[in-house]
Amino acid sequence: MKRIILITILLLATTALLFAFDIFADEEEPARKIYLQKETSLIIYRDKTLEPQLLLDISVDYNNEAYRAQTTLQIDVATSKLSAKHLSISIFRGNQILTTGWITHPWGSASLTHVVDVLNAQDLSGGIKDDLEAMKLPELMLSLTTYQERSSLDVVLKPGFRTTTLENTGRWSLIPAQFSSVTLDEEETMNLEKIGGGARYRIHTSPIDLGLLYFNGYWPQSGYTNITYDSTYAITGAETIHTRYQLIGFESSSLFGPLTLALEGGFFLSEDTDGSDPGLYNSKWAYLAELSYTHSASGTFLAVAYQGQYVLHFPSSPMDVDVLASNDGKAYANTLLAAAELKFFREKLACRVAGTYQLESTGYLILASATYALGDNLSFFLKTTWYGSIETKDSLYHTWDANDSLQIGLHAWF
Amino acid sequence: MKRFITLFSILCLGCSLALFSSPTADQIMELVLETQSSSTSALDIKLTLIDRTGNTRERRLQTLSATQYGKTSTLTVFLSPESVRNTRFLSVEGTGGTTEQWIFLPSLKRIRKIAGTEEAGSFMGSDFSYNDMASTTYDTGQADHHLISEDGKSYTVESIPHEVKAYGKTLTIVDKETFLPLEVQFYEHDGKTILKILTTEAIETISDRPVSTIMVMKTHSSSHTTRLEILQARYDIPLPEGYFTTRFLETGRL
Repeated sequence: MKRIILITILLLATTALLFAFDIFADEEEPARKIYLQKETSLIIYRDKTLEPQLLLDISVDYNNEAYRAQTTLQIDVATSKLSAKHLSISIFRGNQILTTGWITHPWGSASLTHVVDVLNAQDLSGGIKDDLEAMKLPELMLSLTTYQERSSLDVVLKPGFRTTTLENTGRWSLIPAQFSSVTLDEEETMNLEKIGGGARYRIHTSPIDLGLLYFNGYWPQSGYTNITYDSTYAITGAETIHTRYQLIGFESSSLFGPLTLALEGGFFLSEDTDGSDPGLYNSKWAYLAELSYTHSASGTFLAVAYQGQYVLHFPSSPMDVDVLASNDGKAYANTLLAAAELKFFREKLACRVAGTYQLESTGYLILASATYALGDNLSFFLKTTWYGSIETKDSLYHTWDANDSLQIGLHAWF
Repeated sequence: MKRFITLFSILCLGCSLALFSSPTADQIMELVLETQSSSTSALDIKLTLIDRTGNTRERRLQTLSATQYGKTSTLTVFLSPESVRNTRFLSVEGTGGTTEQWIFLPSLKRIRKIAGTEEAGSFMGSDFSYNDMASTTYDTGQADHHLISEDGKSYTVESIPHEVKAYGKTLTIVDKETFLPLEVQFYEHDGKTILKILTTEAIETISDRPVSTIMVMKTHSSSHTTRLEILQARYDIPLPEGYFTTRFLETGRL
């Protein structure tokens, strides 16, 4: 099957000429372009486990006056997995773009993290990557964006939703060992009962770029109900359920001297308005402030961010999902983030470092990488990831403490 | 119409220069800028970075520029290498001397509002700075110009900027026929040490105007050079305003 897809794509492909504007293209511009990229690497974990990785991305972009069809497939040779990272058709009509398909749709104005980027769930089955967009799970979605001179309105409809991907076993599992044998009856989330939708209005003015958001849909993290116990009161089974909520939020971006100040925030109004159902997530406030500096000529990027949330009607029951998802059993959670990207030797060497520190749990994550361009379309990279916590409090970072890793590899575009 | 006025003014100035005496340094540098100015432009550019051992790397970009009522908007799209493909940069000059800038990074799938900076750093790892990409000469309001020498084919003009930023001084050899720079020497802040040398290797006539289509910038200390080649150029063509919007930045579509 994979071979058939590959051959079909290659047969369909034409030589890709480079044009950004019709001005240069005339009638020469190819309607169909193909891009391939390959990444081969070896991941070395702290426990001396080796994990080879071989990824091939195939992107085909068909573009004409009326519509554009984009496809990105990824083949993971190590796991023999073929996945669709992006499948979309966009129809252009006047100042409107209608896009439908298996896509990610970004909301939020910051760069390091987001609190209002709610349209796609995250894939946490392989740890945390240094690319937030790459961690998103594409979903079936329909979006209609209407552009005016300095403003735009995008309306999004999701017939069903995907849940956050977690591992039940292995090094990336977040489920405590005592629950590993629990039988979970997963709720069906891809049906019209789980429909969600929202809209964002953005306006670009000289002092500020501002967006107002509304979304009515489901929280991608599962809650639990109908928990069953054995005679020793150990949990034997549960059904997953999901919380419907409404988000009323905003995103903004403005200049603060040479810095960009990005703000995101919103109120998540849960269907469990009084917080009485332990299986559903409660209402909460979420906020984010980020200061960043971009030097467009050299590609230097520096940023610091502060992100947090406050859960209303925070419960006392240790089995309530709000408590299970909290940091150190607190209603509030605050995180500091910082990142830097610098380029050296005429942009041959790019160094990135990013760090996260969760204040309540004292958990931290450090991601660092160096990429050296061996040629125009070939680079060698070295990445390292450290998870941990200063104190032994429960957190995602503490759970993954043993998963520190070093990754060495090559990336090629062709 | 504007082109006729420009041509007429160049012809008049040329006649007056021929009839009376050598032009002043200010007049020469104004003609240099006038020759290269346009109401709109669309350029398809290839940058070849060559290190001292002869190894090369290529960058390809396309840029659109439009000036209306003295305000310039510029859109740049990076096409290669693959790691920066489809990165887009928009600069819109507003009232009161303010310039709004946004960058679209495909990896973030978002546009980001950024502040304008003193762009003296290397542009895409090349020997050109961001300022060099906009212009390699100063206008009369930015620098004091002095005519150093003149021969049958060229003028040599020394320019000392009023506000020293990237360079302390430039020496420009101007072609008498086309009023394009044949060579520009860029000096350190001390005004004595050569930093970079720009040499024009090819001049072509495009849309009835002379254009430097191949230029080579060499950094004196490292012997690193960058060859800038204009693959395609269009001047004074109608450019839809839609190119200079955050919509185009985000979608790549008009």
